[in-house]
Amino acid sequence: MNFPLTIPKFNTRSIAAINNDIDDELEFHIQCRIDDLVADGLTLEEATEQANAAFGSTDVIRKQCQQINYGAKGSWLAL
Amino acid sequence: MAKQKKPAILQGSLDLLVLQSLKKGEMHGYSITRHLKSVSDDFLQIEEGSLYPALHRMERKGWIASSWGTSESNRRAKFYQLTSDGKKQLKVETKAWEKMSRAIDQVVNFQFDS
Repeated sequence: MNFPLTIPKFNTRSIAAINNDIDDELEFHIQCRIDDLVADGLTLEEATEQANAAFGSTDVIRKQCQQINYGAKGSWLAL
Repeated sequence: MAKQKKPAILQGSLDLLVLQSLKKGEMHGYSITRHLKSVSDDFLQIEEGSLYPALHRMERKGWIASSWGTSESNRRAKFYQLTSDGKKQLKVETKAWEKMSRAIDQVVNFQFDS
């Protein structure tokens, strides 16, 4: 019989806190891209459109990050 | 004129590129994408959002660690750095890449009998 060599890391942070961090991180990236595109001469509207297109689907990416952080194999301690 | 297709990151190489980028020091996700573009002369352009599931996955594996700080533009940002496990994993990924690269070279340079 094989015993696990490591104890799984349990996440003691709330799901709400994890979700806020994920949202902040993704939003930060898109804002940085917008800033760079505006600095390159695009209007804010053009920059926002291009930044969002370059990023991909925020909903899909958010869900993937959530799944990784507290999905099926995540912590039963996540509140 | 036909729209130029974005070159795709080879399957499985994103981890190597991220770990290698972090060898230089801690970075937030946007800096990593900018670094990859700049060092590759704009050749490597990932779908930017796909970086984040990769970063979170690598952090869960213990290859990178994160902390919140303030960016150069004075915003709250999440910075990543290599862990000691990450440095070991980088060596593993680099060796695997070198082997694959050599194998591809052999196929491409193979001379068929005329």
